Amino acid sequence: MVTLPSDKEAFIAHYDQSKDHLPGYNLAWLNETRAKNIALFNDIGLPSAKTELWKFTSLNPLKKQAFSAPETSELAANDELPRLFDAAISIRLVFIDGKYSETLSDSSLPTGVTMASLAAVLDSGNCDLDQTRLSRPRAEEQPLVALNTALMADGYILSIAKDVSVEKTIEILHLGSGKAESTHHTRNIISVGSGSKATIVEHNTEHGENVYFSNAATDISINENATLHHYRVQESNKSAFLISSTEVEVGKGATYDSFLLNTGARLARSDINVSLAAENSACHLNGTYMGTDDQHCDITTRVDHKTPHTTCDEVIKGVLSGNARGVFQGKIIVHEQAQKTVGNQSHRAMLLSDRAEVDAKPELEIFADDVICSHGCTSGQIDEDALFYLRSRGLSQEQAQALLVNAFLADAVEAVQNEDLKDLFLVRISDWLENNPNKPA
Amino acid sequence: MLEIKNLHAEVDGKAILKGIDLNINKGEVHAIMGPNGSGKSTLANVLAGRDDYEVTEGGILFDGKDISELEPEERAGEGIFLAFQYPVEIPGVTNTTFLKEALNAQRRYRGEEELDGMEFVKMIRGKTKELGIKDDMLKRAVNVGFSGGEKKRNDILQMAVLNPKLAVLDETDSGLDIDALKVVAEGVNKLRAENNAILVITHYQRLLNYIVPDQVHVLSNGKIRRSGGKELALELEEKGYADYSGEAA
Repeated sequence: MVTLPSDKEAFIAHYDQSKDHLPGYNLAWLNETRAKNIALFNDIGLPSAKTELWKFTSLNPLKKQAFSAPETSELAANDELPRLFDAAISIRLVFIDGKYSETLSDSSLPTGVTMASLAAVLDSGNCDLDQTRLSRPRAEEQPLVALNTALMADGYILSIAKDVSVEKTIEILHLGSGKAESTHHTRNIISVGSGSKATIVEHNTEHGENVYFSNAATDISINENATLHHYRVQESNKSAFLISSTEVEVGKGATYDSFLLNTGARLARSDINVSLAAENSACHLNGTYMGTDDQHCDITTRVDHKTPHTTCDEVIKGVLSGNARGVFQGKIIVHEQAQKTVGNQSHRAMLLSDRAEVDAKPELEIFADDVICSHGCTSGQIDEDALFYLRSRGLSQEQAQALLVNAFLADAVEAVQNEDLKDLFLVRISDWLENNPNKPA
Repeated sequence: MLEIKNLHAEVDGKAILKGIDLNINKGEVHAIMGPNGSGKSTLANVLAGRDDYEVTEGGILFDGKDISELEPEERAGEGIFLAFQYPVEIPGVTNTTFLKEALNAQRRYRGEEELDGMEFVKMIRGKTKELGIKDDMLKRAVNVGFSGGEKKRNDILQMAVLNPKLAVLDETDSGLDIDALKVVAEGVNKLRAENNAILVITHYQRLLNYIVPDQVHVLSNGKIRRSGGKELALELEEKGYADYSGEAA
């Protein structure tokens, strides 16, 4: 087992050692892409406090951590795997330590859905993936995506055909095996055909409390009049480093509807960039995060309104206790030609301890003159008047606090239209409250 | 039932109550009237056990038990209810959830069996009917988007459900028009019984036309300056608090 520290040089050394046996190593265009990206990563390095997009989130704890190269860690078939939804209403795909497990995944996909593992596709040599699917706008702002592109070893390529309404929820389990301090770079590609509708739920969790570093990148394209509901339940252990970057291109009349529930990881950073470049495209970027102890949760979003008549709304709510820290950075850019844009953003955080901290940076850049845009950011303590009101009716301090925090977070979940998912999120919230008694400092 | 003895209390180190003596027996309705800043609301908050209000001398006996060190929820469990001057909005929590949790918390405190969902629904339907409150109010978030009158009626509904031994109404009339005032007073009167008592705190006499007190006390500068029957309220309405304000300065 190779032990890798995780500063820039270590990642580059890791690339040098593994480039000749990464999936698709015999594809010239891919080798070129990987080489270009590791060079870019080498130029920029890991984000630091001087990097504008990362000024509230330090990767120093990650740099100090040593990781092993990923090993094959197939779980025994009888190991119990978490499943969010009943098999009758969902199909589940399983990734263990970033590697697709065909044996643990459900075999029959709904009609109109195809899925292939990235490793298999690249190894087959005749994939129709081209470089454009793997290149990002503003690549120079995304060194970790460059690192991902250089080192990507697996992931999923999920396609929904035209005019299909996929009834079953597609559940994607990203499970840490708990067997090694591993690092993995998964690359996922989702495309939704025009007029189609699908729900994808990604679930990050693991067996055990091992440290690991997941650096995921997901590229999504949603074609004309299609809708993708993309939900994430991030509940990794409190030692994990979980970094993900999602790039979404929304087509004409199409909708990207996303909800992120984050309770896990020592450090979680979720970037979501949405491009609304076709008329009547829309996105909903909602979520809740809950942090305790030394957890750090960062949600950074960017929405580009590039044409007239595009809409985005964003409601993020967070609750922090202990020494936890939350970061919200939300950028909405309304380009000059994007008249009649509607963009509404709200971020609210509740701090349950004197040591918890939240940093919020809403940014609106508006170059068009006929738009409706709003943003609001608040952070504060629990409402003392409300607390006393509830206690004067007989609820204990803890009960009253739990009720108020629950209500605060549940409000954000209202945006979720799928009732099963709404219930799931609400249960996660009350479980968190039950297991993390928030002692006011 | 309630015996307040030489009660001194301060807020942020400032003495507000300066020796209050007051006895309320079962079945009685008392009114405390006084000018602004006399300590009326402080007394209500001290009785309910609000954190920032510190009792520095004297005590409060409730059914013979000293409650001055009890937490607000323990006092609620003992049977004290405070109807707020400004009922608080609790977004995201429905009235039903809130009432059920509150009632069962109190029942647990008293060692009584909790009500299950069915029993609770049956009980609460009876109460809303009795008070003429529409059932859809139960599904709404506590006080959110309620008019001033609805908020006060909601407090009265809570009172009916929790069935306290002592209800303290803190300026319940503030912000109410005459129709809303009548409705709220009617609700309170329905809950009057031999075994409970009511303490009405108010600046104006008009509420006392509808909730008729057995005794009226004038509070000024942290002390009860005068006590009398319901006619005292009328006298105050006529003459104002001028006779007492000298000491309030």
